[in-house]
Order: sequence, then structure tokens, then C-alpha cells
Amino acid sequence: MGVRLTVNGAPVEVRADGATPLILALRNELGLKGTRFGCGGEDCGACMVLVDSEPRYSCTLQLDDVVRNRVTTIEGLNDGLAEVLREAILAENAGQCGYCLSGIFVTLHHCLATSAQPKYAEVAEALGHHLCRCGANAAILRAVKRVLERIQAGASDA
Amino acid sequence: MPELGSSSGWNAPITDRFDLSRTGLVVLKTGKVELGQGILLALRQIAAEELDLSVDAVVTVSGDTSASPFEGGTVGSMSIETSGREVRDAAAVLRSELFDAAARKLGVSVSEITAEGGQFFVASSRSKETFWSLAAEIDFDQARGRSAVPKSPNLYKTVGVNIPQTHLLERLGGGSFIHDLSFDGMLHGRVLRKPHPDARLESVDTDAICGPGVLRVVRERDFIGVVADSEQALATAMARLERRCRWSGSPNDGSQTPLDILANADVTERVLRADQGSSGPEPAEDGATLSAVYSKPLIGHGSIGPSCGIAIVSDSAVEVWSHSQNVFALRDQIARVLGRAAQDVIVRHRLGAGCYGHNGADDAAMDAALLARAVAGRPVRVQWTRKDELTCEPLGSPMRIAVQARIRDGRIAEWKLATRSGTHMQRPGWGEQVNLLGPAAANAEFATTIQMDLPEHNGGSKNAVALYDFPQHVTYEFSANLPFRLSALRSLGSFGNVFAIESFMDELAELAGCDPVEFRLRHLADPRARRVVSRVAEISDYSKPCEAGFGRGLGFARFKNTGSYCAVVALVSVDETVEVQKLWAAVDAGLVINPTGVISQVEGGMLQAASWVLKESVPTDGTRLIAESWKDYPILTFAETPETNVEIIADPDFPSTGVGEVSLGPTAGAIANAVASAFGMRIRELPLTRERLMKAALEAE
Repeated sequence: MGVRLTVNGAPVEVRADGATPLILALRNELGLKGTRFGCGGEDCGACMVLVDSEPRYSCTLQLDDVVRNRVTTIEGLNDGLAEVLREAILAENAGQCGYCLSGIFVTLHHCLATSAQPKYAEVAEALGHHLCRCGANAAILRAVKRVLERIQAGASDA
Repeated sequence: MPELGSSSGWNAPITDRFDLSRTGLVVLKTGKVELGQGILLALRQIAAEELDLSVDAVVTVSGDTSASPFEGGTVGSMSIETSGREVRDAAAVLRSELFDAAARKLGVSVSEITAEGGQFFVASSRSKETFWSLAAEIDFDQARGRSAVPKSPNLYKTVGVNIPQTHLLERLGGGSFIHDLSFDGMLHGRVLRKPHPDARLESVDTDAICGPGVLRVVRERDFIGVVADSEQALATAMARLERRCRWSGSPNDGSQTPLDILANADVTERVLRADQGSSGPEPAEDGATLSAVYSKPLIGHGSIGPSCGIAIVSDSAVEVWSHSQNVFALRDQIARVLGRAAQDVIVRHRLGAGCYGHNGADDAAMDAALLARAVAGRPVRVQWTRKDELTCEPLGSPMRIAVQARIRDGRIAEWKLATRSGTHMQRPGWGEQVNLLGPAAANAEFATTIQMDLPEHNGGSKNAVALYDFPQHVTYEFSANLPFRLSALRSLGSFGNVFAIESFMDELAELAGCDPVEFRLRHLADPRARRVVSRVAEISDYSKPCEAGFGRGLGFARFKNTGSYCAVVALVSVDETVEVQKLWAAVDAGLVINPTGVISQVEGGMLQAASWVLKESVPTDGTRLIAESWKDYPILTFAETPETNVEIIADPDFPSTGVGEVSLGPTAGAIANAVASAFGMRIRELPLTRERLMKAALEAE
């Protein structure tokens, strides 16, 4: 018994039944442990992945829900934008324990990748799907501002 | 004595602390553990500084009972204060031993040699000797008890520098957290917790729980858990188990809140301070006295990642992985419960999600060990559910603080404060008790029967004595029988006490007709205290008038009256609900190791305190904790996050003091004072919810 999926651009077969939560297959069957379990109820966003480029909670999706879709985890985000995000996170020390951060990274990457001119308010609003308990929220928001400045500077250079 | 966990003076072999067996690297062994606070980087900076190494050349072995020095817990904001000092002292001894060996070997005097990156130079030319070539020449055990003078701070090149916290980027991928550990043949287990503290497991149909993938149903008295071969099979079995268990007993009267229970509890009183002429004012007989009662509710840790533990139990050994704050204390209690010798149990620390005190980490590890006993030799991984986190972790005690004072000639002439609380300490081993959920359910002998708080000015009495200069009478009213599981939560009693003291200082300033900053400075002789208060007022434009509906407020404390100094200003707006617009802080932590790390901890404390002040109160029905999800225990969101600005007043002339807990109390005071200013009325019960504000507004009409 197996379920065929497309994860991070590659076809994979997972030894699990279709009712298995996506997060368990990603972590335990595919070894993609950057996706984290936080609450299991779509409240905290630690488990965020992209399904056909849209942010979705992987703790409540089942494998059957995504057999026709492209699933992208944080391990699959390695483009130039991801690098800019990483630089901003380091520059602002935007995280403490980092447990919430990979889900936040997925959401931020989505917001910045899908909008030609992303607005701070929109990006900040998208973070409403996430919780951070260390109080790194303000630093994460500063990192967002830093990335947007960088994107704007890049746009005006062009 | 876990919480006192202050490390003992450094008088151990250097090999307890450093290992030079890997060429090019110095292994720093530490009992302190990474909790998301960046401690390991700071300790590496300290060692690298003394040894003139790059930070990358210092690696750590942390929190391993088989390899790390015993240093108590990673608690009480003490790691830099005590362990940092010891690492510095031990590194200075190591350096001195290495230099002596180099001088002998090279036939020159110590003053002629220098070292950089572990390479020795004689008169600027490279010698053939390095730290590692000489390591074998040193009798490390002989170095016990030696002392060497550490570097002078004015020569520092690595300490005080913002070495980037690159571990954050590493954690973006998988593999950094305990949750990511995987072993061959690993099984998954979980324990079904009692619905309330007095519940007993009357009956359970274990046959009905068995199903595909379920290996064991483990029952001992009121302990009932499942071991399965996958997380999915476990989740299915646990859902069946929940339906098949019958629990007896009912929780206590649901009409009483934890604060009601505290208010009516039997207490023992301890006088913390009784200055002459401070017996306290009689009930107000003139306009110059004031009294008020403040409170804070039950508060949870709410770590974003659930508690997790892994254990392998075999006939000869027990191996456990845990994100405990104190692997040694956990090791001792696991050994006690399993009937093993302590040396046969190894507990290794692995990173958990952010930790703010005694959460479920130790329980999850103990759960894993108890379940692993049923499947000898196989690794069992336990990961709690969010509901487990919200209903089973130890909580921060409710507190009620009553204070009275008299003003004479614009100064506080008398001050009487009584702070009331349950315990802030119930860590594994505290009071000779196991203090873990699994063993307490399995065996009455292991139940916690005595609640005992930390002594002296700690626990509920932390920061109950104000740092201000006025005659004080301060009493701690301790209740040893609150029907909740209470233990250490970030800043312990300091949060409630400083919230009350700083709120009352503003109320008294108003009575005295004085500006709140000026009023505080009038009662503060300590120059470091004056400096943070003045500085935060300056950077926040404290004295600038606010628009209608907005208010600024200030709060100050020196953590435990011996630690770091912190003053916070909040700018809030009040329009039915409170919005914190901005928070500023000035902090004096003496010698700073990594400024970014300090700012991060202070800012994290401010935002966590903002969450506590505005939103948090653990929902209860009598003694039953009823939150099922984050929806029932909301915390600060990104949309509610204020801008923050933290300024460090670095003073290398003073020893380093911890910063993890310093900003919570001052932030509570600052927000409460800002709300009182914006709203025109003072709410003395936390959290400052919309309902409380509306009720106060209605009552005022």
C-alpha cells in the first residue's frame, strides 16, 4: 500500500494509507523534519507547507487531499528569495528557539514570491496564521521590513 | 536543590570542563543547556576570548549526564552569572597551563610567547607548538584548584561582540530539535492523563484499544498509556482509549476561580523585611494614605513545540533524551522510579521549543521511560498533544498582592506589602519528591504531597521587597495546598510583585502630585537604577503629552534585587481593548557577552509579559483545566505585537548578570500604568481584557 505524491518537485511514494496526516508522512516517511508539529489544530502555523504554492497546514491535511498537487516544504525553498529571507533573519536575529520559524519562513516566502510589490501590511497580516512564544515577533517583523526594503531597492536598481 | 542550582565554585579538574583531544578544536563541556536563549554561543565566546581562539574553534558538549559537569539546572537567569564566570576562570587556568608548557618546551619565558588560534608564537614567529601538541604535556588533574587571572575586559575582542546567532538558520531545516531524533526500531507512545487531579482510573477495556500497530497497552494504577509502531496508529489508539476509560471522582466546586481559592487558602506568613517605623499605616484616616490589591492569574508556559522525550530501557542501562532544564535531577528521579542506580541512567539534553521554566519536558521523558520498560531495548518516543500541554504542564501560581502606603512631604514614609502565592517550585527532586505526572499516577508513593516554595527572597517572594529607599514591611503569605500543579515559570513571583509595586508607585505619585519618573528617582539612590529609569524615560519621550486615548507608563525593577536592572516604558492606546503600540527598555546587565543575545532575551521577555498582561489566564472549572486548544488560551499575535526598542547600558566594570527574566515585571508595570493613564481608571487584576475594562467603565458610570 502506498500513496504517490509530488514533494519538492520530485515524485515520491509514501508507505502509508491515504488518511495519514501529511505532516506525519513528510517527517516520518520522507525525513523532511523542517516541517514541525505544534498544535494539530491550525492554530499555530508551525507545520505550514505550500500546496500548489498556497500555504496550508500540513497537520490537518491528509495524504488523499494532496495526491494531485505539488507539495513544497521548507527544504524545497532554496531560491534567491529564500537566501534574502535567511540573510534578513540572521541580520535581525529574528527568532529565539526557532521552532515556529520554518512555518513562518514558508508563509513569508509565499507572500514575497507571489506579489510583484509586496506590502508590509499584507505580509504582516499573513503572519496571523502563526504563533511565536519566545517573543521574537517584533524581530521577525523587522526582518520582514528589511526584506521589503531590499526588494524595493532591487526593483529601483533594475 | 535544583532551583538554587547555582554552580559550585570552580575547583575541579580542567578535564571536567575542557577537552583538547580533537586537533584544532577545544571542546567546552557544560551542564547548562540551550533553551532558545543562546547560552551556548555566549559560553563559547567567553572561552574563545580567554584562549584567543575563534568562536568556531570552541564546540560544546552540553547537558549530558555522562559527560558534562554537574551544574544544577539552567534556571534563574544564572547561566552567565555563574557558569559564565566559571568557564572564564577555567579557561584562564587552561591558558596558563598551556603557556607554561609551551615556555618549558620552547625554552623561553612565558612573557616571550603569544598564542593565536591555538598556535604559539615566539617573538612573533610561528613555533612548532600548538595547544593540541602540548595537551599531552599537561597534567590536567594537577591543575585542580589552581587559579589564573582572566583577561582584562579592555582587551576583549570576542566578548561583547555580536557574533551572529547562525544556529537560527541551522534550525530552519530539520534535525535540530529533539522532536527530529529518530532511531532504528523506534516506537511511539503516549499516556492518557487524568481529567482532574483527584480522578482515579476506575476501569478500562484494554482489549478494545488493541488494533493494528498497537504493541502494548501499559497500565499501572492510574497510569495508562499505549505503545504503537507509528504516530498514526498511536493517535487512533489514544482516541479509542479516551472513550474506554472510566474515571471516578469529580473536580472541586467549579464556581471558584484559582484566585478565589488563593484568597481563601490557609497560609503561613514569613516576614521578608521589617524596617524600623514600617509597621504600616492604619486604615486611611487622612488623605495621605492609600491601599490597593493587585492580582495575577494562573499562567501557562505554552511552548510552541509540544513536550517530547525518548527512552530506551534495557536490563543493564537506561538512556533518555530530553529537553529538560536539569538533566541531572531528571536522571536521579528516573533512576529512583525505575529502581536503578543513578550511574546506570544517562540523560542527554536535546533542544526543545522555547522553554520558559519548568514545563512538561521532564514529564514527557519520564513517560517515555515508563512506557519503554514494557518493550525492553526498543526506543520509545513520546510527544504530548497540544491539549496535554495546556492541561498537564506545571503552571505559574496565581498571586494576590496587597499594599498600603503613606505619603509625607512628597515621599513614601511607610510602605506595607503582603504578597500571597502558591509555590513556584515543584521540579523533579524538589522537596525529596519525584514531582512527575507518570510516577504519581502509577504509584501513590511517588505522588507529590508537600508543596514547598523556594526559600529566602525567591519563589513567590522574589522582588516582593522593593529596591526603593523607604521604610518597608513586607510579608510573604504562602499557601501550601493550592489544588493546582504549580512550578517555576519565567521570573517566578517577580512578575506579580513588580506589577503590583510599580502600579502602586504610579498611584502614589499621583497622590503626591508628582511625575512618576521624578517620584521614582526621589526614592532611588542606586546610581545604576537611576540610570536605567532616566534613560528609558529619555528614549521614549516619556514626558511628552499623549493624545486622548493614548498613554505612556513606566515600570522598573532590578531582578531579584541583585541581578540586572531594567526599566520599561509602554505606549498604549485604549479603545475598548488595549493595544500596546510600542515598548522601550533600558537594561544594565553589567559586562555583556553578546549584545544581540541580550536584546533578544529582554525583548522576548517584554513581548511575553505583554501577552500575559493583555490576554492570559488559564481557564479552569474548579480544579480542572479545561483549555483544549490555543483558542481557549490565546497568546499575543503578530497583529498585536508592538514595536520594541531595547537599549543596553553596558558596564564592563560590573560582573555579568542574567537577562532572561529581567524585563517581565517592569513590562507589566509599564503597560498597567500606561493603560491607567489612557483609560483614566486603573484595573488591578490581570489580564487587562476588554471585559475588565468594560466592567470598570460601567461601574464608574
